[in-house]
Amino acid sequence: MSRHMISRRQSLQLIGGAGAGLLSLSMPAIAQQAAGRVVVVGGGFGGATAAKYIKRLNPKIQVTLVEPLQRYYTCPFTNLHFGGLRTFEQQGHNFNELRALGVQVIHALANDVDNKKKTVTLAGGRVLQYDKLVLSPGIDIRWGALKGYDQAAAQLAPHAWQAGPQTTLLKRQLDAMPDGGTFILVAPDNPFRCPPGPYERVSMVAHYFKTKKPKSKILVLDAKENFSKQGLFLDGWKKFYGDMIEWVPLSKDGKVVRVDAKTREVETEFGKKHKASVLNVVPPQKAGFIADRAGVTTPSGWVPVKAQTFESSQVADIYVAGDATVAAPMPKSGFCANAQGKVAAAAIVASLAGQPAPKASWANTCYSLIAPDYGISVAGVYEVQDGKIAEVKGSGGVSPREASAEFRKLEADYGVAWYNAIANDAWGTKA
Amino acid sequence: MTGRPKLLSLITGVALLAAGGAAQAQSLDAAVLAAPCANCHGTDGKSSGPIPPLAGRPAIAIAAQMKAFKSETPPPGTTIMNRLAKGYTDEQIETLAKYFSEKK
Repeated sequence: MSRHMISRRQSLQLIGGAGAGLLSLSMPAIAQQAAGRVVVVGGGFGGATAAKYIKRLNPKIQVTLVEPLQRYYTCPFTNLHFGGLRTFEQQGHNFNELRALGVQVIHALANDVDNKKKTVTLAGGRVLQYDKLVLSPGIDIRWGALKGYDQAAAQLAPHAWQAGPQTTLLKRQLDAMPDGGTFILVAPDNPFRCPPGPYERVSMVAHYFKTKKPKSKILVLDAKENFSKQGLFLDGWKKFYGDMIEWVPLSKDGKVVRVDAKTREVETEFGKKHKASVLNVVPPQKAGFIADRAGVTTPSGWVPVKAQTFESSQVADIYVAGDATVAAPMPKSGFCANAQGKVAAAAIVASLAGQPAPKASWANTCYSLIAPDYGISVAGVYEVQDGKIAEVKGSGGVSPREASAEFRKLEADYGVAWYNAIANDAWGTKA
Repeated sequence: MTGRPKLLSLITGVALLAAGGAAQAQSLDAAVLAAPCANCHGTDGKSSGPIPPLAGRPAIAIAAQMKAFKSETPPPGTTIMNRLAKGYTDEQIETLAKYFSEKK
């Protein structure tokens, strides 16, 4: 009986306060209870989106966003910069819209989390108290996990897997490379940020070489046997770039086990050495370090979450969105980070109002550009089944292997339209 | 059971709002269901690019379009929406259609 009463109470509270921000005038008591303090760490696709959508759902909640960069650069679409199709600045976004919405934006590094006192400590010592914490820290590189690849090595053989100085370093190296050089991309085993990313990067570097340095070669040394949108990429490479790109899978000794950044030489599992003119190492990764500090990671380096809310499975009141999470079958994409940020935002708004979380739902779309006017995509729709994230049966998948030039052109155009739309959704950036 | 009178008074207090509140509760579910659409169609479905806006379009038109996308013979020129629409039940499609039709 008492269990029944509680569930009835919860359902009535849900009725009363679900739109707390909208209904606050008509039910002051519950709406006042709904207000709380949320700290969001990370101003990327997941964090900026979560901060914005919490404010949109209930403006009375105090939201603080902690992000070191005044201007945030997305990794998505930097590949087009390597292709010479976009400037680096086109991937930059500021936080003006979030400030206008009433989000307090603090440009500092979050150094530590005390998950018992519920505090975040910033570099410089400032302490922020939270009722709910959102972590969207993206990835950190597992320095040293690949022999010879440490922070010093990344200054010679960039990863460019976090947008910023690494991106511009790799671009400068490509620009300086003589025609006839070899670009080597070392691709990691799963899981890693942006599964189609290495292969789009190779496509865009190939486009740049084709137009500026046509005698050059590209070698992809892969620790995997298969990769995202593989058939479509292989078809597209052949169509546009002939034999310029060679992809070496795990079974053909593609796994790199040692990097010598000084000589730009890599060694594979069975001892074969390859020398690059420009060496791009996409190394093993883990959740951003603040997730470790908050106690939400497992020894895997990633963050398990409760499917329905994206609250940490390990620590109450800490929600995690984006690449840092274990959210398979959702990929580590900007689109998913945004979608997860919204689910976390709605769950937090409901929880602060004493209500159960709304029903979760996510989608993903990842466009990749193989050549100008030749885009491909993968899509998925996800829901909670038996407490786990699952792809809705019959949904999703990749672009058809056989498609018209018009179809590929549309997907190329939609890719740009997607970027502009999601940047506007997350940061308010106008294209 | 000791908490029951308090619970009942709370229930009485919010029950008055139930009619309007139920719609709000549903709308939070609807907002979450609709949330990923914004990533291409714009926040609240207000796209300004080549991907069509959804905001303010008649619900019947949005639902019909989604069901057409979902079919095994989608309209000519369909790309990703065939794969995405298949992720939603007809009931969810109606919810999405209503949600975006009410965005002005």
